[in-house]
Amino acid sequence: MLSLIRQDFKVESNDLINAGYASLFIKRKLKELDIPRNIIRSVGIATYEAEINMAIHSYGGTVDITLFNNVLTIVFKDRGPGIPDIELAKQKGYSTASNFARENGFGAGLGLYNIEQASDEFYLTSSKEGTILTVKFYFNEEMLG
Amino acid sequence: MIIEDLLKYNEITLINEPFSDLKRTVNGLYTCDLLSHAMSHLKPDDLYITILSNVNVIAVATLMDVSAVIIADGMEIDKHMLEKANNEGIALFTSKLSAVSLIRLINA
Repeated sequence: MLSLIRQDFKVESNDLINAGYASLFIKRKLKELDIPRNIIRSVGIATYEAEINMAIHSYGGTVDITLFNNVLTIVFKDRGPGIPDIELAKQKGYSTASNFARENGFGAGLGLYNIEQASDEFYLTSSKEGTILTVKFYFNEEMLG
Repeated sequence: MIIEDLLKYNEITLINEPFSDLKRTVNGLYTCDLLSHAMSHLKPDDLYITILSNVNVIAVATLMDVSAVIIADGMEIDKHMLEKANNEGIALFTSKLSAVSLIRLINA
């Protein structure tokens, strides 16, 4: 059974310099636990894409990471403005990214698609008050060595 | 190829000297200037070539276990990018050459 990890991070709107801390943190932790490289890659992709989404699309929010009983759960919760059409937002290539985001290499419109592909479970709800994205990864006994 | 092999090219300059892991393997070459797209295509130990010159390139390179990054077309690197490359142990190079020219040079 994997030991408990419990950590949270803040993501500020348009702060692209600091967005990514949560992803790099969880990558380091999973590497210490000898989790297979391909799993770490998937977790890294999902976490980073979600952090960046929060930075470029929201007013800011938090990233909550919990690893317990072989399940890694990451909850991304922001303060708005919400996603008007989730199905549209999930379409590959569809992006509402600002010029600022695009100048920094973001805005390909692949974020939500990449996150859903990379994770074992994916839940997304949104309203004007904010968006909550929950992703889960399941680790099995073989991975723990 | 290893990272040290890139040092022989006059057209490619290592920015974060001294770099501790020059013997690290470089397995493939990849170039793309959209970071989400790059994230789903970069492979471990790749050499990542891009004109994007910001700290997020290093975050992506670290997450994808890239060996080294070359910033092409003479784009300037800012201090955040250099600092992050040093912290994460990513070899960071610059070159005035384009991505295509760099690939031709390295593959020749």
